[in-house]
Amino acid sequence: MKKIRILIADDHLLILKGIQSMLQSVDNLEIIGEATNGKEAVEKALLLRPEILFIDITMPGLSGIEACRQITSQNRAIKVIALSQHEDEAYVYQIIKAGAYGYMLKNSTREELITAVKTVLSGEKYFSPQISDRLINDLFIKKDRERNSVEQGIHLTQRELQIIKMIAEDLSNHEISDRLSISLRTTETHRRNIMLKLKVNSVVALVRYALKHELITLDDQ
Amino acid sequence: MVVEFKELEKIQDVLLAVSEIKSPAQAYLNNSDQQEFVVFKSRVSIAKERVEECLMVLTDRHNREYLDQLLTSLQKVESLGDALFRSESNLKPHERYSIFLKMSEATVADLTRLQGLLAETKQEVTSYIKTNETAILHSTITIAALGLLLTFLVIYGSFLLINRITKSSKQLLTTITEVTQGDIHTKVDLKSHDEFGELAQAFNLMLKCIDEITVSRNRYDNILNSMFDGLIVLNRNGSITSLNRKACQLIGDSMDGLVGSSLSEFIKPVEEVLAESQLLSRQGMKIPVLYSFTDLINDDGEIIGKVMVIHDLSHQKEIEGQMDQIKKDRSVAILEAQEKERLRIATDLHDGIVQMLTTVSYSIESMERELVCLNEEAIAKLMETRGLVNTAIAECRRISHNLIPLALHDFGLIPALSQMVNQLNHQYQIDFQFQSFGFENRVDTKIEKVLYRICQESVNNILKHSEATQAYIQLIRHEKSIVLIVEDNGIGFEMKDLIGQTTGIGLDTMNERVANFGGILTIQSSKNSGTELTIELPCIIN
Repeated sequence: MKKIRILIADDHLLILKGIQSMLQSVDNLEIIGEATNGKEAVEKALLLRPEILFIDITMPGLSGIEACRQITSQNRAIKVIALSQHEDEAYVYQIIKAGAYGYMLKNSTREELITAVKTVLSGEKYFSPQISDRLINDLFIKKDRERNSVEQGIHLTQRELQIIKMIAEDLSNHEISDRLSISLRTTETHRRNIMLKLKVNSVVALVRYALKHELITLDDQ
Repeated sequence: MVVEFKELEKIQDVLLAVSEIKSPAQAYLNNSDQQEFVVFKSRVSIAKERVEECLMVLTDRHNREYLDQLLTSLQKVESLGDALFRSESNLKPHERYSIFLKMSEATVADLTRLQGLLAETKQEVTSYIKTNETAILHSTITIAALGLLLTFLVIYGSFLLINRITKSSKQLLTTITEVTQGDIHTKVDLKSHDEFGELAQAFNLMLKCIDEITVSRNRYDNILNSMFDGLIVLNRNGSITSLNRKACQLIGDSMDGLVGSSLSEFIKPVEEVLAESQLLSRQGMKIPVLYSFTDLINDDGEIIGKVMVIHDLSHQKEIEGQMDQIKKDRSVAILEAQEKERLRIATDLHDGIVQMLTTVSYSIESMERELVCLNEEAIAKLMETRGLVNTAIAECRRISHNLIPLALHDFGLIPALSQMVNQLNHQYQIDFQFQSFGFENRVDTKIEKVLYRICQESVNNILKHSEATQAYIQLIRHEKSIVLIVEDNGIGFEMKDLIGQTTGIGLDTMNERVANFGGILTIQSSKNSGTELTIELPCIIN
């Protein structure tokens, strides 16, 4: 049976050795090389063409994310699994976007590593349990939010809604400032915020948007 | 002049007297009357007297011998007459006649002599008259010449006099002109002792007085113009009546251009004695000033206007601004240093301790696996130890994350904030939403950090105080600024309650942070209608 060829990239030698020793004893796995920085990882991956690349994210020079992007864009056959100390989803999103197939925390067990290799080779994605927990939570929250977003569209604050009404009443910035007892600069800032948020460039477009989304009614005017 | 005429008169008297001597003798010859002798005798003595008188008068210029001879001759005639008259009876007629002839001849000779003398005297008189005429002529000429001379002298004198008058008055006039042209240190240089001299002295005295008065006025002008502060004097209508040089400099116009202008064109003084304000110069510059504004009171105690002293605060404000900037820069630097330190510790935890703990975890695992001699109890202990190590790793990650999320450093504000919001939603009941607008690239890392911290503080406020169920965090990227809006639907607060007790909700620190980055923080809130926080920071494009 052909062994699964694995390349490991990490700038910490102890980690490298640890992972090596964990995986060495696994029968059908073969560690074919090590890299200690992003650049080396790219070179060795493209040269040795391993089936699995375990890569650290935070490395000197080229980061794991960038290295992953370079490798997967040139050789889609190499399955990259991030092996990171970062629990933050931001890292997960970034490296998955860069083409990685899995994301594991470094203090994963030997079993987890083996499972990850198998899962990834079967074409699925693998995440450490802590990571997948987070991702699932995120997903539910996002779903909720998306539901809300559909109802609300772009969120406008109370103050912004007040100002939109006043703009629809054809009040000048000065008049709005006076009515709301705020500085002219603040009014101008609000106005610019509204325009940018709603992606409108004119008062007409703004009023049209406001009418369409029932932020104002024709009775108001 | 008289002598000659007297001589002439006496000589003629003598001549007359002499000529009359022979007539009694002649008559005697004819009538032999003795009476004639008396006449003769008296006539001879008269003749003698006349001769004597003539001698008295006659000057030395004449030959006195004539008269002496005449006297002798008269003596002879007398004696002849004596002879004639005493010897009348003894003498014969012809003898008497011959005596008479002799007598007659003598008188004729005398007369001739006298005639000569007379002619001489007449000649003298004529020459005298001639001399006199010449003298008169000379006198006339002299008089005429003198007259002419006198006229010239008078003309010259009057010329000198007029000249002097003209000169003096010219000098006075020149001096007056000089004075009117402003040179009051001049004086009339007239040394004469006449009225002009007195006038000049009086004028000089007057000039001295004026000079003393003017000197004191100049002195005050100099003092006012040398003042560091601007001084403006106003009448009751608020128009400028006078101002010093500094005031002109500040306003940026000439004294002539400003007198009569209304003060309100440049500064709007409140009815305060001392206040800070801005002075609008003619060039449109706004100059920060400290002014005092007081009544101008005359000797009678009436208010006749206002006196305003303006102190230029530009330099002070500039320094204050610089110091403020230095303070801000320092605060920013301190914050930045703090953030760097946090990042360093976080990274050290992550890349140092966590890595080591990870290897420890690996070692324990390999022990569990490889040490066949271990019994179940030992394996359980090892697994427990590995669990503790993993907890330590998790704790380190948590500490590191709390110090600073490395995602903020690695990926920027938007991923870091969206992750923060995710975690908040995971942890708390409040529904947090995050939206960003216009962010295509990362912004300056300092701004990322400060905005992240502000968000953290706002979120803490919402969690602690708001009792909100929903909160929105929005980031809007404008061309030159970034706006952060944090809105909640909580209980809000009265804006007036903010004053004086902002420390409780961390708004002071937030406000200071925003100000240090040149931004503006505005809060909109009222009881039971939520809070809206808007922060605008100028962005430095990274």
